[in-house]
Amino acid sequence: MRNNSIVNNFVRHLCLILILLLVLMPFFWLIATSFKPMSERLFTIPPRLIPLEPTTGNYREAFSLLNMLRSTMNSFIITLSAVALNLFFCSLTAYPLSRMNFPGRDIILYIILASFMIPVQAIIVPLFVLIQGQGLVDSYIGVFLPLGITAFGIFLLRNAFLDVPGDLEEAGRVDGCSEFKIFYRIMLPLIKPSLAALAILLFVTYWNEFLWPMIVLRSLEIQPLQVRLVNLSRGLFGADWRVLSAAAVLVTLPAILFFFIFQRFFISGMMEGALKE
Amino acid sequence: MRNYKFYKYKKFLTPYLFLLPGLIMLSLYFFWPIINTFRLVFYRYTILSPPQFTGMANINRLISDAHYWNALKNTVVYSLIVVPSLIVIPLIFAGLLNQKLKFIQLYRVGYYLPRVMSLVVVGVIWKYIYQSDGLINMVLKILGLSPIGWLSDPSLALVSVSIVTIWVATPYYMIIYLAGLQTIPKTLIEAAKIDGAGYFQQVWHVILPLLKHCILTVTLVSTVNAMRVFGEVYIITEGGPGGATDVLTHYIYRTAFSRMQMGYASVIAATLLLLLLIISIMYIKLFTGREKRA
Repeated sequence: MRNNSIVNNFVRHLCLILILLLVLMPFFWLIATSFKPMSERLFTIPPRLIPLEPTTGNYREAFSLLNMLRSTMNSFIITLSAVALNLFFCSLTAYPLSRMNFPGRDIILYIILASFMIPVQAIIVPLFVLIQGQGLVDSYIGVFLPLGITAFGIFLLRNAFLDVPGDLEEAGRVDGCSEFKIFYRIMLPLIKPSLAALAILLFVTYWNEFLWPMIVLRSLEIQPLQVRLVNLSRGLFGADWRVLSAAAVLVTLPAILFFFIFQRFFISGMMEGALKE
Repeated sequence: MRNYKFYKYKKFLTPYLFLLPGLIMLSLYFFWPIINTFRLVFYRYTILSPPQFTGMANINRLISDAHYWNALKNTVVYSLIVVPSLIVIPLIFAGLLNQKLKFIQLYRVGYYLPRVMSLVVVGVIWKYIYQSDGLINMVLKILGLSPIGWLSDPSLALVSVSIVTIWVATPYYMIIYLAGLQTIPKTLIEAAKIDGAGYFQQVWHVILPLLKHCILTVTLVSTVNAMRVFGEVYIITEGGPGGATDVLTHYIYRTAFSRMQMGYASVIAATLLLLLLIISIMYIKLFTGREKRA
């Protein structure tokens, strides 16, 4: 019986590992290519996963082609600003929608819910016209300001506020706190885990965004990593798979590091969100 | 007395004051662009000169525009490939990852990894793999099969793009299913086992009915996401070969930002918005129905 379950467990692990290797194979292949020197052929039979003479030359080249330091800084500026704006606007909006009763609440809720489904791709033309009219084309603020609020964030935080026990704000009121103070001093600290989860999920989302920054930002010096990678893949190096692979790894690295540090938040946070929806 | 009135007035206003900043943001960067899309439908607008009213000209042009109908057809065909795949494959993965095993959390992290990469990176990876002498065709050659023109064959290119989407989106829907699976009480499955139900009977008669809401959510969300696909197409095929993978968003992008025809791009966007609105109304109906029951 005991033996049987060991065999059983072994088979299960083997299945999970084999499928995982297959799923991640494209990624492994990218890493392998990024370390291959010019002298090594990429297209061989059988394909070679471990380079014969691994080199970091491709990374050095990609690093300077992407203007890595500057564009990483640009990515951070845009991403962190958009995340910060979301925490501010979404929490302010979610709070009355979950903790207060007032005329028009349900209508506002449904309108926001409907906007869940409208992606930036569908409104990109008037959005660009608007940013152009505000004179924000080719500026950081033109990129992150329209990203500053999301229906997803409002709903995630609304769920968090709904879970807070009701008598807490009463206690605050009895103590003579203003409504804003109750929100700021009592409620926000209580939903810190949800604020963190939202920040982490949005960080990766905005880090990976490329269409909107690509349209707004013309100057190379203020473009984020993803846009620089798009340019690289369409320019002279579009078929230089070694350099392109190295560049792709460099661009992904911050998001993957971030993911591994906060992976608990991703899986369990997203699962909680899905449950409550 | 005046004080009391003031207090009541303030109490009435409080929720709206909280909502104000967020609603301004949403109106400016969300609702106004939506309205403006439908307004620009009737204008000729090149950004360089002010919009010029042209009445129904854009709409007439749309009706006889073969490129538009091709893009719409491709969007629908792509959705028909991607949506059913994303209903089934993530469910299987979620089942695999819902086992009680050592290191299961580690496996979950691994299976989630494709989702962390940007569509630009994903596009670069798959464009490389799909090359005529790329990784997949190398493997095919080793197996003694003839290589396939993943991106050069017009009848296949859209399928190739769909595979990329399925690869990168599976982790997302897998998590939704995993959350659903974990709400199913173990006792229900035990009861089914005692009643002599085999594995597939358990899945079909116990697990799937309990996941009904999850499956509906995945269906709607994946449909909306399929309608708005852009990154994979833009990076891997640019709509080619010969328009075989041109989708609505890509056609909007080309019309607006390569040809600078903002008005005409708005007509195309308006049809996409209408499609999305219909789907989101369905979603609200589902959502509210559920909330009432809960």
